[in-house]
Amino acid sequence: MSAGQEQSVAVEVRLFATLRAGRFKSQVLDLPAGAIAGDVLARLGIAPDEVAILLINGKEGDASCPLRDGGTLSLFPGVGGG
Amino acid sequence: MVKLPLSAEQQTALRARLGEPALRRDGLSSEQARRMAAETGAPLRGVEWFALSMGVVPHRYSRSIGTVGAEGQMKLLESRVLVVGLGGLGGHVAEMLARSGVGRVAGCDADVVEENNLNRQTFSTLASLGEPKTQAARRRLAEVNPAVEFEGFTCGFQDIPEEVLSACDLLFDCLDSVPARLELETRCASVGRPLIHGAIGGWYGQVGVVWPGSNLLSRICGQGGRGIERELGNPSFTPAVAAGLMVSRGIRVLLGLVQPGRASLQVFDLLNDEWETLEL
Repeated sequence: MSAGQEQSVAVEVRLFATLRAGRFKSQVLDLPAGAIAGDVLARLGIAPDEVAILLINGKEGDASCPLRDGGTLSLFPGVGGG
Repeated sequence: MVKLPLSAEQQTALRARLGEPALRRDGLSSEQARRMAAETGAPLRGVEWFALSMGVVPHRYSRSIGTVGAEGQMKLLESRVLVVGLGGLGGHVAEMLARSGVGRVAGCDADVVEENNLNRQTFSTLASLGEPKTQAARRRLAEVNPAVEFEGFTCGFQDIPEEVLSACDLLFDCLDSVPARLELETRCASVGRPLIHGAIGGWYGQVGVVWPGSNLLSRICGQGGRGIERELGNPSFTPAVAAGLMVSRGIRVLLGLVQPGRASLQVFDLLNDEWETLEL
């Protein structure tokens, strides 16, 4: 195992509703150790204001939250119609 | 204890009429209830409530009783709610509440019915185009269940006096903008009333119970003024699904079947048949 792999974290990213378009439903991403949720948004080309609910391991978080190996990041877009 | 405004004379008159054994067996038709209300001067919902208290089931609730029980039905007839927004969500919500026999339903909307409402809004018809939504709602609810006392507010909810909000047991967030929803959440918290939230866009939607002080909406609405509905619009079925989920939660809150304070949001995706419950 190389040093680079040891320093990476594997995070399952789950996308909902329109955030899936042109992306995926669920995928495990390898990220550098110390990565935060905002890094995933940047990598996937999702603008921060496109995300209304951001959950890390099922708990409320935000773009500045760190990601741990084996964790889950779930992203939901804003829904506001009536 | 009689929780509806019925005078001692009206109660005596109703007790005599409703005591007929055949009514206990056969239930009470809408026509019989209407006649008793006219003869005694009691409000129709009072007649229905009194009938239930004597073991007489109004026919119109005979298919609900197995689910909510006679006592539950009486509780619904005693209840007072405000539906904020009478569009896609609010129309279905208000009509379901009326069919459920929620005794006092107020509705608030400043808009008139427009042609682009016809694909989804239950109060919009060719005949109601150009009419205030509150007026279309009043007519429809009277056709569906005249026992329900409807009060229409043709204005923004910001203009509804605080005493109206605090007199309600429960409010329904059927708005279509995030800033307005957040303002409604604040007002509900200040009068200590729960709010049933619903929001839709395209194939997608979300519903939840906003307990006072939970700030659920502030936490889930993001910063934007609107959401994915800007691009996707709203088809016929999504508001109906969301409204059903909202009313089922509302009825549970009114009947005391929900643990207060527990914040959760149900998110649904009708394109992929996915339902997620987020504990927030």
